Amino acid sequence: MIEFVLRRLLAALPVLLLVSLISASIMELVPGDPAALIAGQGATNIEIANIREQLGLNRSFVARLGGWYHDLARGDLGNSILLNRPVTQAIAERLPVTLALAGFALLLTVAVGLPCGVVAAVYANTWIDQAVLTFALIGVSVPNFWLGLMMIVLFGVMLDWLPAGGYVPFSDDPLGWVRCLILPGISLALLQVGLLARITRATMLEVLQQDYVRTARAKGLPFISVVGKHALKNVMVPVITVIGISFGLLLSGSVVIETVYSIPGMGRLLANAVFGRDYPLIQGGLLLTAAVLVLLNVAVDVLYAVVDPRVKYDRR
Amino acid sequence: MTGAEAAAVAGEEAPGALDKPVSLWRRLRRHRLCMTGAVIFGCVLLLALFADLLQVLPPEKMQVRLRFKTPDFPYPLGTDNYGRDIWSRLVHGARLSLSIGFAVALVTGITGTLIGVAAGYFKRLDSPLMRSMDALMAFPAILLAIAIAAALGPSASNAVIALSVVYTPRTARIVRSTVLVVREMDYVQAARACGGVDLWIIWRHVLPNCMAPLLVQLTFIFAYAILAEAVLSFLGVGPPPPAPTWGSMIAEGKDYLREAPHICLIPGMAVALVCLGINLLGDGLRDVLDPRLRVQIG
Amino acid sequence: MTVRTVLARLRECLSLELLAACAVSACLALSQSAQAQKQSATLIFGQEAPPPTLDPHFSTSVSTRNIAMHIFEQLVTRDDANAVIPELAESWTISPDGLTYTFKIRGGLKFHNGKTMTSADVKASFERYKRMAIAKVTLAPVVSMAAPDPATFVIKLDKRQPVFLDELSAFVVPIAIIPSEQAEREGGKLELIGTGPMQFVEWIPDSHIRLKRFEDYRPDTRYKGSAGFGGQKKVWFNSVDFKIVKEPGARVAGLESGQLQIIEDLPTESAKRLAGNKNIVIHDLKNNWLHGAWVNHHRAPTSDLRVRRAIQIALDMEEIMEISTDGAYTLQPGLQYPGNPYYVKNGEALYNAKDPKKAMALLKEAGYKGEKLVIITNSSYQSIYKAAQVVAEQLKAIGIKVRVDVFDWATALTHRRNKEAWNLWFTGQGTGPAVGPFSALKDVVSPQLNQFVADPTVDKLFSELIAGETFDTRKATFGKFQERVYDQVLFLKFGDLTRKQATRSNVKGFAPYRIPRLSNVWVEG
Repeated sequence: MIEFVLRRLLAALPVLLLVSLISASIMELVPGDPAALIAGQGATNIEIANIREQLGLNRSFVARLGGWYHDLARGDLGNSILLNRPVTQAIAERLPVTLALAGFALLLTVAVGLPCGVVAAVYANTWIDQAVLTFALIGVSVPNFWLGLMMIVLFGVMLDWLPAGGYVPFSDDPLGWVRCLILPGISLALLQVGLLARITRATMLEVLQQDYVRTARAKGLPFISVVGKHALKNVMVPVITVIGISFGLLLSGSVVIETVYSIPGMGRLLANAVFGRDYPLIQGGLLLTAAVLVLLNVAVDVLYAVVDPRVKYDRR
Repeated sequence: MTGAEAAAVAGEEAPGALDKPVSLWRRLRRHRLCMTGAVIFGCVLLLALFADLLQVLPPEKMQVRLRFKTPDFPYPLGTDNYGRDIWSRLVHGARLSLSIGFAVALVTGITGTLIGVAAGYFKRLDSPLMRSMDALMAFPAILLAIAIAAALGPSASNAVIALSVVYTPRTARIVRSTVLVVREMDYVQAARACGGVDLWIIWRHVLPNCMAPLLVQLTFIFAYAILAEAVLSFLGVGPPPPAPTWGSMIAEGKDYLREAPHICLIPGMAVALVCLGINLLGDGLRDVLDPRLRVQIG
Repeated sequence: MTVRTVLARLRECLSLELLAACAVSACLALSQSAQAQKQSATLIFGQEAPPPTLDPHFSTSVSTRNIAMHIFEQLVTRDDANAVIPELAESWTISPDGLTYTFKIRGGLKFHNGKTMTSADVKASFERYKRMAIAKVTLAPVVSMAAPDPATFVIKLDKRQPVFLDELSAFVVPIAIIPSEQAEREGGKLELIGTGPMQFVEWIPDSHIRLKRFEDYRPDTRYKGSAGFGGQKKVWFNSVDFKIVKEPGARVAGLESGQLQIIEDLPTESAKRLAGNKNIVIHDLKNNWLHGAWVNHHRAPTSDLRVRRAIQIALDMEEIMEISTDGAYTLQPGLQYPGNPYYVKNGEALYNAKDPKKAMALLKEAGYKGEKLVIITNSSYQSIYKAAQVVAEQLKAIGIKVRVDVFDWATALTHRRNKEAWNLWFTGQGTGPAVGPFSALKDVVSPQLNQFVADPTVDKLFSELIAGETFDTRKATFGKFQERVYDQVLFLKFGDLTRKQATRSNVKGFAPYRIPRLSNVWVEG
């Protein structure tokens, strides 16, 4: 197992290298630079060149990338151009916010998606099943940013039940923190709920077909206890899967949701970095995101083995 | 095993060839949700096809004196902040959204299959190709699409390219996992042992086996692409105006949510409805094409 | 007024601190308990966009000034009517040959780090500005600067420049005074230490920027209250949060629920709805932005004056402004706002002509063969984006083939400098036209040349304008200049946008200004 984990982590290195290469190349192709943004529309070419020089942007692409790798090797992600602080600090400030949001969304996902999936499987091919399936499909079909806008108007403004946007740190006001997270959490969780409900249903269906479940039922055990005892244990696999793929989806989703709800998280940090051409921040942010994603994938695989003894990795 | 492959195990994707069209069609017809999806999708498709006939006004036509009209005659869905007829924009937007979604599914299908087959069939190509795909998948999808769309410039075709880059790795992975299984099958091994040409074997034996999971995956990508295009347009990096994309219609309406909610409400519902239709269709296809899920429990 | 008299007055005020504070609200009779009531913990301001940097020398952005102008102060600034007034300067004299400017600096003022501000700091700040500021061209005529004693600062110019003080006091890129130790810092790397009434606490990107009251601030008692960015400033809040809320809807929702006490850029449609709301006061800021488009004289089809004229006279400004601002606008031809000293109407006949027939005839005469007219606009500023869409439709109606390219702001700015990339580049000018005709006009003058093809007449008029000895001659030259802009279609002006700021109704003392000022503002109850 340890060998497997180590091998996976080692295999991640070229992927991370590729990630940084791809992001740097794409951003190099994107027209516009932070100097033009800082200088504003009235600036002359000379003024912009002057700012470029001060920001160190007049060096060639290769030189800049080389410098970045050189610093990276020493554990330095450089400084954000537009935020006037080290990239690591900018990320450290934002990551907890997105993790809180993602965690909350995940909690909602499991709390709603799992029971829905189980119920749908137990009552497969009845109207309950169809209702759950349709609900799950609506979840993956509704544009979450649009739903966010609608919920802001309804709950944030017209009914005034919840804050219309913004973020309060837990340490400042725990209740306010929860209230801030409810609407964006729902918007973000919707897609995941749909996914989890469907995967859970499929897994449960398979499990319920298994001989031992049939036997248990044939022995006259109550249906509920059969489901609870034998089947539920198996649905841990889809839950872990969804948690695993969620992080990427959540980060992607949070780009938009954090913009709609004015939440200062990672997604918005990175989106603004792209729009502001804050090269060091984009590079550092994407590298860290990718690293977290890779680590999470490894963790998910390890979890599979813990939950399901049949999964073995050492053969590969 | 990664998360996505586990999803495959959990019943999301499985290898399988397409059955005969006739029995397939019969089974699809019995699938109630699938038929609902087909009807929804069909209606939207008709709207898109006959947009020119159905429009009340040209979708770009602005009437400064008729701004913010609520749904009423002669503007069945009201007018927007430019005084343009929302119904006409909606039907033309359907054309654009469906085209973009379809184009993304098509491009993704082709590139994803090429990469997936190459990686799955030729052992030497596997690692470099799949590591590249992993790298692309390590990006937050929307962010990658924004950056590519910004790099290429705003246009419908560039949005298609950006979204295809985002969805190709996912498709390639599914194709590859299918190919890995098919490759080890006896008759493929036999064909190779007999000195069969690789390309012929792929064409004759491997590709047909990938079709079912690919088709299912592509319907979902179709729906995702429509959603993602709406996000891109919402963030201002989609097809440029005056193209009436649903995403840009939502974006334009968001400043008038309290005062004229219909501007934002209607295109959002359209996106949700068409994606629901496609997803229902895709679900039905999967149930029918994937034998392992054809389970009946009392 | 000499330094000594001011110091004496300051001492007087300090001995009667209570009185000095009361003078801010021009209400000497306030009791101490009312004082305590006015003082409150925090104020939350809803800001539209994050600042690219808070280094005032290194940004033209309004978002920077919103915040930085509470932290930093200038030597000379402008009052509400745009007249030049002293801020950190006590007084100044200009030598008869017009080449030497001698400033007396107010004494006993402290930076936020406790250091006393002297002419050495002023000199260092000017030197940094001349070295690296975005608008360093302002100080180009300066040949030497000196600080002979702590209260005196001397500037020598190489040639007479009658409008030099106007330029110094302009606040597009304000010459903020910073501690001399900071003067070596590169752009954007400044520690935020100034002499202003508020001091910097923290900047959480995309969330907020927090300032707190600078306890050692000494209000400028020469004035009764705020005067532009200067005047007598008193901060009633322990701290102020500038919360970044990009979505207009979220800003309005925050104001309605009371989470935000003051917001900038209230959407017009929301303002209509909120008009009857007792909890909210809406302030109109007329002439906040001048909407228009730059015209490329290099690229076909706008390289032909007849095509440019056709575009100019075809446009219906009312429709453009109505849709892009939702009705918050005024129409007038000037490149200055009415009320500005330099306001003239030259060129009026060519503005808002709404004559598509004549335009089509002109196009025909020019032999227009359907070359693509490329419009560049951006998705970052909604009113600019909308204006471009309306203009595109109006131009299509007279038979021009139009393509609209929408970019994010950074890309749009980059393409602005590419003479092959566009015909019309849509923009809005806020502060430029407000501070006078010079910064607004340099855009069509060499070497800036937004139209890419130099116009010798315009260049000549601009140097005449700067060199004009009296206000009247300068204004006359500016009239000719504006006429030339219309005649050659160097810029298409659409109209002036009225921006709205809004406060909760318990916020008192807030006077709308181009850049929101939070000094002398308090919350009642």
